[in-house]
Amino acid sequence: MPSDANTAPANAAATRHTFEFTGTAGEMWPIVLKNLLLNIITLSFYRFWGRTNVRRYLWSNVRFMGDPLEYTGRGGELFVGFLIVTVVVFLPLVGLLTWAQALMARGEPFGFILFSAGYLLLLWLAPLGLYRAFKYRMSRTRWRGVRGAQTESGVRYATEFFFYTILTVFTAGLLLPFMEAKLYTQETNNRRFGTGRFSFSGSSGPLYSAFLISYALVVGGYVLVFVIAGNLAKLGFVAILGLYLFLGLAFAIYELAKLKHFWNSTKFEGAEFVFNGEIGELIKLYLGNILLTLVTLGIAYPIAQMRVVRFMTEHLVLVGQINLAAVTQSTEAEPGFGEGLAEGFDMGTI
Amino acid sequence: MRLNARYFDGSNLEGQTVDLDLSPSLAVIRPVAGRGVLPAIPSSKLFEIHRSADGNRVDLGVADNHDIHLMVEGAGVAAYIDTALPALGVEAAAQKRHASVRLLAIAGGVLAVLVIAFLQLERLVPVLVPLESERALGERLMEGFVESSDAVCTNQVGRAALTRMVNRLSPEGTLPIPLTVWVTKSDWVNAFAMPGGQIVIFDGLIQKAQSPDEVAGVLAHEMGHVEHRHALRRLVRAAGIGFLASMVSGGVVGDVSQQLLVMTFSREMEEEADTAALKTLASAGIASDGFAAFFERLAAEDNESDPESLLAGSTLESLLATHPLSKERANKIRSQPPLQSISPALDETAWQALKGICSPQQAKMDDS
Ligand SMILES: [Zn+2]
Repeated sequence: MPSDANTAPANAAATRHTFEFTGTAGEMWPIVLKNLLLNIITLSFYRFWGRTNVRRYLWSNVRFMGDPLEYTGRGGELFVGFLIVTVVVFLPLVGLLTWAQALMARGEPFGFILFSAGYLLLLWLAPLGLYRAFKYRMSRTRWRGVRGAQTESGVRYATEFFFYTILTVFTAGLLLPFMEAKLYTQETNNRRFGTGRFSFSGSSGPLYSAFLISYALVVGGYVLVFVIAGNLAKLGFVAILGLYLFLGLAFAIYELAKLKHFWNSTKFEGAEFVFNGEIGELIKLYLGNILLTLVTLGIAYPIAQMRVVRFMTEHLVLVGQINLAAVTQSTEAEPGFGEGLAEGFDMGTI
Repeated sequence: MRLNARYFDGSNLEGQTVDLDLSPSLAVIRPVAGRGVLPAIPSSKLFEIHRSADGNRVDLGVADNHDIHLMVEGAGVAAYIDTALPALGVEAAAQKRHASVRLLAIAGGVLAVLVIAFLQLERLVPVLVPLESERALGERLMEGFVESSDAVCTNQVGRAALTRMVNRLSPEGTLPIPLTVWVTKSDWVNAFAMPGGQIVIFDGLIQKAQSPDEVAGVLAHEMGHVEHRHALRRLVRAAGIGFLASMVSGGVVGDVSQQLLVMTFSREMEEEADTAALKTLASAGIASDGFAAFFERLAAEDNESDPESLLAGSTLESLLATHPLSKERANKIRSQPPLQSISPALDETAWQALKGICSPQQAKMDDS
């Protein structure tokens, strides 16, 4: 079971390190609109710099122990990452898939094998891209001049993700908590701040009760829809929207369990994180973000991201003593460019 | 004025308390504990990471050294810093401008190379895709087309006339791929070449034509597309451009730019097909006048915009839209040297048979 604030030293009040968010929508909107305008003018090429502007604003408004984070990434680094990955990964892959399709059109079984291999490769590349994006973001995050790091190349992460995904699919999704806990373990144990280490001691066990409730609600929701309406196509747009909303909210139960268990079992240099959000607050956050994004046709997405950051800072504390003098600058190499692979999978969105 | 600040240089998370002396040129930093002196920082390199809403706190960074953070606290420090450092920016923009210009130039170059490479990709088609593959692809495509339409014209006498015309234009072995020519029941005045030697002519075109030479001209033109494998090249180009455009724009302008580039480049192909058609007509001993006349007549009718033939006008557009008749194109066709011996593409009987290719069988109806 997760350890919590009770296991912290008796003088916990003195060693409760809080996060704070000082940003406002009023300050974010000009950034969002400037990015939108420049994206239109540059046929969306500006997005790398736009994303950087948003991050710089978000990071600088997060305060831990009173001091702000600094985002040191550059738009150019994201752009170079995008170009490199396009040339090295995506163009050859598209070539391969096209060739495979041509072979399939000729009725050659080898074409099918090649095509499947190409798609499986994508399933491996996507998590690799995700991990590389973690790596880039951590390395560009500074607090008190010290930078974060994510060790390892992401190959092991992508490989585990690949096999767990296949397992999860074959077990009708029931292995999802197991998979997510495994991946979170790897993610967290490879995370550093300076020489300080993060560590995760949880497992998937505590997630299952919440997961099964969410799972039952989702399955039940679908069954209900099929019984009542015959099939989804017969439902109107509003009804389908309602269904998706219900499914999303049903999964909020699991999401909350994950946030709690994952954070409450995560340590940084002996100090323990405590997450204290409740289901109502999480649903409010989700509903607000869905509405905000839908109404503005996605333009306000950075505002939605800001609400997530604010939510996290409000509900997360680090409890315990940290020997600040002992945490020194990271010696991990900093990636020179960023996130191209994640960008290709449309994941480099924060 | 001396400012109280906390100074971090990335060596650890604890930092130290310092006195900060700001002037427009230099930030001098003295540890309060009084051990040694910290390196001064040129003020031009300072930038603001964040300032609190109440103006009582400003967090400073250094443009070329992110290890250093200076947290300045005290009543009214923001206002003081603004007077002491009027040039302070949110980011040291000037520092980075040089680097970004160079980067942008490199990126632009890479992108240009990428675009050019993509547009040239189709030129590899003849090298990379074997003819058998193209033929198989064409057959696969036409299978779907023939199955889905009951409009394929099968009048035997008409088909025989068409075969005669095809054989005259393209005797065995002159094309790299064997031809399959389909006629479909449609009022469209158009014809197109699919990959793998598959040519489709709409009956509307045959009805619109005033002589067999006109049909032969269009057919020869489509054969030109087959000879140069334009259909497959166009597919490759469209796929390439679509991919590139969606990578670049995230899907926003993909469709528009794709359309634009595919359109403009197909003119080059049209010219290639024309050149091939003229050669084909010449070696078959068919006058190219019909070819030119047909396009010119369509263009003239299109311009008339006869209100009665509103429907005809819009269907006429199709052939002209895919084969825009430029002055140069018409002139080129017109300026062919006269041939020594010419004869009509089909004799009168065969021509009438071709006109009836979409009518029901007159003779016994064996198989369809
Ligand atoms: Zn043409």
